[in-house]
Order: sequence, then structure tokens, then C-alpha cells
Amino acid sequence: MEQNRLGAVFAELGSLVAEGVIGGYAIVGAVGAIFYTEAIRTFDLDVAVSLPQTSARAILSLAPIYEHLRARGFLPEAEHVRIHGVPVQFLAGDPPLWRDALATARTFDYEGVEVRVASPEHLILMALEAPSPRRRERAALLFESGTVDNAWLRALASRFGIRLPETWNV
Amino acid sequence: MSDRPTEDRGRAFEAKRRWHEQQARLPLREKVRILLELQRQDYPILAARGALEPWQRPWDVEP
Repeated sequence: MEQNRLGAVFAELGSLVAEGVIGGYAIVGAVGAIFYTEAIRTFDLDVAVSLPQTSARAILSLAPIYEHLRARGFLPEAEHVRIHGVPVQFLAGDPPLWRDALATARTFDYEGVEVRVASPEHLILMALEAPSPRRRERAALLFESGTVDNAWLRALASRFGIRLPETWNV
Repeated sequence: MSDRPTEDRGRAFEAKRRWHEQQARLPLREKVRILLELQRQDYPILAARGALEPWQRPWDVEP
């Protein structure tokens, strides 16, 4: 049997967009961070998604994503869907920071597969928005990664009302 | 008199910073390989502590 590859997981995300199941996506969380930092241990892959603007739905539902993936043979497991061996958590919502992260996500090439990843500045602010020791550590790693535009980070933090650590001297 | 411990500490921090920078500059595929290795290393320790949900286990995937 052919071994699962991470690129195949990213390809499934692209298919969700191509087939109109989602409007767009951005990898966030620890996996998003490692596109900019050293490797960080995590057990899941967080994906921020926007849903298609097909109706004035009052409630954002992930059901179409789950149904589409189930038909492809990928089954839900707790709040995740296991895609090619990787538990993927889809996060839909409409907070302005997340909308902006999706709109400004960067495109990377991973082994020939296009993958959209939130900017390091957005990943920092997402980690600081709901801080835990691990998230604070991740934010610090991103900040020290040499990939952050300090002026943009400062502007985003101000726009979204998120306080940056004073020791950063941004 | 030179402040030898402070100088040594400074050199150690600088070496550590450089190491983190080098790790961050590794190819993505190599970083994913390390992530998978970290999962395999940490899993038995975290599982023994009862600190994991059932879905939290090393990925059945190659980089």
C-alpha cells in the first residue's frame, strides 16, 4: 500500500477550494508556524476556512466540508477529520483577525503542491489572542524567526486590539 | 577584571540563537521530518502521563 504523504493532505485542501466546498483556507497553528520557524511538535493541523458566500446563512456550518471529505473516505475523529493519516481541524468563523489572515495568506510550494499559510504576523496575533504557554512560546519563535515585518505586526496588533509583549520592543 | 561568566553566557546565548536560525532555515520537508520525529519521541511520554486525547498520536504519514 502506498504510504500517505503530507503533500496529499495539502492537495485535499486545494480540492476543497477548487470544488467550491470552501471559499478559501489558510494553514494556522503550529503547522502554519513551521513554514517560518524551526520544527514544533504538534499532533494536529489547524486550517482556517472561509465558507462560500452562497446564501445569507445565519450559522456557519462545517457540515458540507465533513460530508465532502466523508465521500472521499476521510472520516471525522472527535473535532477533526483524519485526512491521509493527519487529523485536520477546520476552523470557520468570522472574527476580523481571521478574515484578514485568510485574505493575506501566503502561497508556498510543498513538494510540488500549492499550500496557503497565514502570515507570520497573523500567526503571532492568533497565538497571543488566546495565550497558553505553548502558544506564547510559538509566538516568540515566530517573532524571532527573522520573517516578521515589525511595522506591519505593530499595525495589525493595533487594528485588532491585541497587546504585544513589552519585551519585544516592536 | 573581565566578567568571564557573563561573556560565556553571552556566547552561549548567541550560539543558541544561531542554532535556532539555522533550524528555521531548513527546507520545509526536513522540518516536517523533524516534526514527525518529535511526535514519535514525545508520544510515549505524554501518553504515559495520560495527557493526550485519543486522536493525538503520531501521524501515519511521510514528509
